[in-house]
Order: sequence, then structure tokens, then C-alpha cells
Amino acid sequence: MQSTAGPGRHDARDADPTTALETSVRDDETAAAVCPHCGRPFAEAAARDLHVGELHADDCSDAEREAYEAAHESERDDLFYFHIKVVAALGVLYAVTVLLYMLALGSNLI
Amino acid sequence: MTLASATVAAVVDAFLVVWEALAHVGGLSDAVTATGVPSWLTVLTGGVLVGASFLFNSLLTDHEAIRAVNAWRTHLPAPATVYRAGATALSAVGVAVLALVLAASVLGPAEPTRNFAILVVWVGWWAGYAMSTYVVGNSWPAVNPWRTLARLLPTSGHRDVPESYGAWPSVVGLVVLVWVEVVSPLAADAAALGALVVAYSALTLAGAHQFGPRTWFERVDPVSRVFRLYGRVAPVQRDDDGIHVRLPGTALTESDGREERGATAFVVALLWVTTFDGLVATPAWNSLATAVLAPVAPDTVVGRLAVSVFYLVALLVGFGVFLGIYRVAAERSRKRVQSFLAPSVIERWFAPALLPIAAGYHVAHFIGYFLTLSPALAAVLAHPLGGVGAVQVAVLPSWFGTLQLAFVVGGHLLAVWIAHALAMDVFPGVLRPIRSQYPFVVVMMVYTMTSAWVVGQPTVTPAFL
Repeated sequence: MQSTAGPGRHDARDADPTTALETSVRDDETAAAVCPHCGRPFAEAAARDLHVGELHADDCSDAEREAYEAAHESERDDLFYFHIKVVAALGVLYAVTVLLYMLALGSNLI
Repeated sequence: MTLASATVAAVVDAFLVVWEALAHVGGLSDAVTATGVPSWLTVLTGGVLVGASFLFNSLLTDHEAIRAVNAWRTHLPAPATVYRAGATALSAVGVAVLALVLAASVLGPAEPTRNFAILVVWVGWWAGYAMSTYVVGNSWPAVNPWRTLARLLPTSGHRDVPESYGAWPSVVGLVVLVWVEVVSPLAADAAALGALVVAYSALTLAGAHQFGPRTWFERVDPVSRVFRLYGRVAPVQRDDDGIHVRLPGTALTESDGREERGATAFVVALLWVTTFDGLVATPAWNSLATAVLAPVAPDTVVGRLAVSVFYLVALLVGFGVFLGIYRVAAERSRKRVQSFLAPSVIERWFAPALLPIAAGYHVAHFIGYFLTLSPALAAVLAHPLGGVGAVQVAVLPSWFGTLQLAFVVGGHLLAVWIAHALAMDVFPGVLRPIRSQYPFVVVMMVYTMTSAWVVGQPTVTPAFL
């Protein structure tokens, strides 16, 4: 389960359509960070750092690259706990489904 | 008897004795009978499968690998002369079939299952050919007889359809076409079908004449847009580099660059009308329609008008509900990841993921219909203007219902994959794309279960039609 949302993803398209998407910051929202390359606003600096590292990898400054690596590492920790929850959810889902089938087909309860 | 065969016989006899004994142990043999899976459990399993596929997808974090799988393609060699000859042949077939349909609608037998026009339009084209556009590839730009005719006829100065209209003319067109198809006896009356084809031809050729074939067939004509959208689910794709084969659905992960207003609404409308087609044939709908239309006398002009208005209102309300649900899901997705992308951007970005759902539902809904009537279609293709003997229909095996359910679920599984790939491109990191999908997956699970329920219902003639 290697986690790479890394740079160098311009191969599939000539012009990346995601860097010119329309944004709208509503009155009750505030942009905590803005991408210096394309101007896209983000609610968290970590989101902006990940965005810069992924989409603007070629134009990154060293500071931005370090910020990206830090955000990436921090996300990997969160991802680990998230994956544990996912596996648990899959297990519960499977068990409940099998139980339901056993009850439906093998008993008069349901 | 040899010793070996005697031994075998003895073993078999002993086995049978033991088997009989076991069968009577505990007296269970009478109590245990083979029961089918109850329908509520089948429906629930559909939803569980879609939810589980999302959970599996969220374990895949190697975005580069996912992109590589989605971008994989092989080039199909198609020299220009072969390509153009093939396209010309398809166009000729399209025009010939149109001519035969018009002729058969007037000259052919009245019985719907023996009439060339009825079978070719509803079984051959709307079921079978439509399936080919998402199973193989979109050949409609070549096959489209009206496009061929429009190119042959002289065009006037081109009027422009304003950019602000976007795709909305085709949305209106789609709703009108489906409404007309539902409330009028086009599925059974060859003459009425012929009249509709003539009206559609007149409107289309006039429109292509006024606005130019390219504008008309790419922006306004709902039929061409439906096949173009279905075609993006197909493995065979055509672009400037030629013809490629890719994995089914993966062409949806690449934005086609258009930013048309109403394009999302059209995709949602396509999904809704496919569901509506199945919904109006359920007994539950019949009860509702009978209750609402009880005071109406169906044989009077006012009565027929009331029935038509009822179905139009149902069509529009359902479309509004579907669009509303999609908008709410997109909004919740935006909130979930605290994104500042405009809501319309998110709605437009994820709309392609709805197309495998529409395709899955379409095949579930129509494949039984197509296969059942395929012998009749084959007979009528051999004798276009009648002269067919007894009508033959195919009888489907009992497991076919399960196969149809599998198609519905399969469409959703592909949609979950596509939506995940789309989310990766527009939200940063790994967790945000996954979290952005929560509202969409919930909606998809509910929609799978509803579709599974509709597909599992016995088909009845829609009330008052």
C-alpha cells in the first residue's frame, strides 16, 4: 500500500485542465492558504502544500518541496489509521452480510 | 462381473445406504427446502457490494498506478482509406434502414412483433444499437442517417446557437423525446412511429440546415449526444491520433475539455429517463398512477391530455429530484474536504462517473427485451415488408434476472472506480479525494438498491397508456 500522489503527472494530458478551475470562496469561508503558482485557495496550508508538490512539481522552490514532503508524511500517518478503519469496516460488512444470508436462507427468523 | 466392478458396485451401494441414513438424521430432510434469496436481501446486497467496492478502492493509494491503468491504450491500425470506406458503408446502411423503417411503417403488417419499423427502431436500434455504443464504441456519427442527409443537402448561412444556451436545448429535446415515447402508442403502432420519424427527420434536417450540421448534431440533437456520452464508456475510442482500444470506462477519466452549461444536467437527465422507463412499468407506479388519475376517463380527449400531462409532470419532477440530489451530494463533498472549488465545477467534474451507471442500467433494462425479441427481429430483417410467418420469441433462462442485477451493480462498481480517479485529479493528497467520495457513494448505494428493486419487479403495462 505505497502512497504516492507524487509529482510528474503531466504525461497523460498536454494541458492540465485542473490548474484553471473556477473557485469561489463564500462569505462565511476564509482561505488560509493560496497556491503561489495558480492562485487556487485552500482552507488548510497542508492542502496547499500537497497541491503545490503534486501539480507544480517542476516549478517548486526548495521550501515548497520541503513543505510538500512534510504534508505528505503527515498524511501517511493519518492514512495508516484510516486504512485500519477501512479494513475493520470491510470485515464487519462481510460478517453482517453472511449472517443475513444464513438467517434468510437457513432459518425461519427472517 | 469382474472383481473390480463388483467392488465398485459394493462401494456405491454402501455409499447410498450411508447417504440415505444421513438424510434422515435429525429429520431435517423434510424441513430443509431450497429457498430463493428474498428480494429485500438481493436489493441490500447490491448496495453492500457498491459500498464494499468503495472501501476497497480507498485502500489503493498509488495514484500513479491508478493513472497508468486508466491511461492504458493500444492503437488500432486504421488506414485512412479503410476508415473512410467503413464510415461510408455505415452511413449507407443508416440511410437504407431509415428508408425501410419509413416504408414499413406504412406498408408493413400492423402487428407490432411482425413490423419491421417497430422491431428495428425499438429492439434493433434503441436497445441493441444503443448497447453497442457503450459495449463497443460510438459509431453514430457515421451511422446517423440524418447527418448523412444533412451533409448531402445544401446548407444555408449558419445561424449560431448562443453559447449561453450550452447543452440545454438537448436536455429539452431528450425530455420531450422520452415523454412522447412514453405517452404515445409508439411501441405498438407502426403508423404513429412512422409519423414520429417523419417529424423528427423534418425537425432535424431543418435544424441542421439552419445552424449547420456540426452545431446541430454536436450541441442540439439529444440522440447524438446520448450516443456520444455512452461512447465514452466504451473500449473503442476515436480521437485525433486515430482509433484506440482502452479499458471500459477509462476514457471518462480524461476531461474532454468542454465546459458547456447544462452538460451535467444532460447526464443526470439521461440517468433519470433510463430509470423512469423502468419505473413506469412497475406495479407500485401503477398503483400511484391509478390513484392520481382515478377521476379521469381515459378515452376522452381531456382524459388523454390529463394522462399526458401527468406523465410529463412526473418526468420533470423526477428530473428535478435527481438533479437536486446530485447537487446536494456535490455540495456535501465540497464541504467534506473544505474545498473552495466552485460547486458547479465539482458537479461538472464528477458527472462523467454517472455514465457507467446509466449504461449498466440500460443494459439491465434492455438486454432481456432485446434477446427475447431477437428472433422476431432476425425474421423481419430478412423480410422487411412483411411475409413473416409465426412470430418467434426467445425464452430467457431463470437466472437472467440475477444477470440483470449484476449489470446494475457492475455499472456502479465502474462508476466508483471512475469517481475515485476523477477525485484524485482535483483534490490534493490521498485522503481528501477519498473523503470527497463519501456523499457520492452513499447516493450510489441508495440508487443501486432502488434500481435493483425496479429491475426485480414484474413488468406491467404503465397505467392508462
